[in-house]
Amino acid sequence: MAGLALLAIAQGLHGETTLDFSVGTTVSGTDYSPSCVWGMSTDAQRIGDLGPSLFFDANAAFSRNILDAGYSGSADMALSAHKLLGRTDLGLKLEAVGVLPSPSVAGSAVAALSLPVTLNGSALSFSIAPMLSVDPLDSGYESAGLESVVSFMAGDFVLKPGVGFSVIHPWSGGLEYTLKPGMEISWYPSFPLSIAMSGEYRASGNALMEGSWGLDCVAVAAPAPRILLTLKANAFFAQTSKAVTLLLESAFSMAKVESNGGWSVPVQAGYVIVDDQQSFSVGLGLRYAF
Amino acid sequence: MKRRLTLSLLLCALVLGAATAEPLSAWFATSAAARAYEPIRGELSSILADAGERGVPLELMMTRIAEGAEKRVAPGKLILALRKDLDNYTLVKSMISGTSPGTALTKEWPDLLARGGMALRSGMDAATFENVLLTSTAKAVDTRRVMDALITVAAVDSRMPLGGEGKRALAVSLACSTEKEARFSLLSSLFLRGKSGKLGTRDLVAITVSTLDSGGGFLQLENEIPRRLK
Repeated sequence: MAGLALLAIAQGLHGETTLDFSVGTTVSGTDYSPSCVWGMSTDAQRIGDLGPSLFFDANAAFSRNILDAGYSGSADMALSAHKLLGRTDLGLKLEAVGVLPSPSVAGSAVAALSLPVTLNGSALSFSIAPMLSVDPLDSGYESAGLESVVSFMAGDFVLKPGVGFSVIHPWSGGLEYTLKPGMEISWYPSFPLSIAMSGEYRASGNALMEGSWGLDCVAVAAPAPRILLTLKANAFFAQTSKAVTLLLESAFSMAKVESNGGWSVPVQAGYVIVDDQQSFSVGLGLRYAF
Repeated sequence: MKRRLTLSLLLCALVLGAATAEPLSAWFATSAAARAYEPIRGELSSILADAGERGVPLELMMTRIAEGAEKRVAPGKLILALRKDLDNYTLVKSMISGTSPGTALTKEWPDLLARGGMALRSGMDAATFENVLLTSTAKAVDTRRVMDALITVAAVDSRMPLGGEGKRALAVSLACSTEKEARFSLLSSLFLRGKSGKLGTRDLVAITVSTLDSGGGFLQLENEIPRRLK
């Protein structure tokens, strides 16, 4: 992956990088956990008129508890290439996602390959993506799957019904099957606001795993030229467990600069409930894009 | 000879004055909001006369006067705004006449000037306006569609600064695209979706231009943006 990334950069990609730093605290009952969070995301791209378009993304985040030695971290990297043949988009995507092992998290190191093909019509698009993934750690797995999505516009809305199927072989043995019918609805009104909601049901072929619902929502608004409000919510529901996360961020841009870049001040408020255990968080940060 | 010329000019001024005074008098006679602007009636009349001389349709200026009065804009500010509007309409008239000489004779003319004026009022700079107009009309794009693309890009730029080249590339691409004009206003919201995923403005412009130039529309753009979200 690193070799491919270097190759991509050598192909004359240009991109942008965002650095994040924030301090905040999580409140759970009477416990306070103040922490510092560092984050970096960078992307590079070359959009070719004749040749293939190349995209490279890398993100990393690390959080450190100020009072004790607790920490968490994650990193991901993706390299994708796309080539348009008429109105058909042929893609190849390589991804690597790692979660740092810590006392509370097992950690993972997933590598994935997918070959998305999108057939674009004037009123309808159809995408299909076969994919392979592997996590070589002891708690890992190998899997193969297929996802397909139809998308179309209805007024200011974009609707995307889809279905995914995957076969998973954990290193611990056995085979698992999952079927994921889902739907995404996005609203793009004529004023600066967008809302995207998606939901899927994950049915498992393994008797030990129960079916579950996953819901996601992202709402973003620009009520004034320098202010960006973002609300992200996701929820997971199964018969024996549930989790809901809400995160509201208001980012104030320090200066109205041309194109991208510059400093902004994000203020965040979050709420998490996992199996009746609630926690709240607030944070104040500094973000620099260049 | 000199006396005859002076008389002719005086006659023209009187005819023009009478023509410009008519819609203004009608507005003062019928609109309750107009009363607050009685002290600047003379200046309004002078601006309308100036508009007539420059070939800017009076109905455009009357619309702007009525809009300002509805919003209860202070009389002094209204005068300043109207003079700026008149300069904008004059500039748009000159630029459209340069690229599509026959347009001034069509019934669409006031609508085109209104849209062009709106684009400039929304923050589109004159150099980018002219460049986009020249490039797009050279590709046989309808002038009204170009105006709508300029208004749309000015609206995006007001929330997410695009830079001069970004504005130009995006406006040309949008004007020359296959996307319906009625959907142009959705572009701000599509860009916001990208910004929520920390996509840079330059990236969003590049993705949009690439998608539209390859024959796609907003549906394809809506597929591309989430794929690139971080």
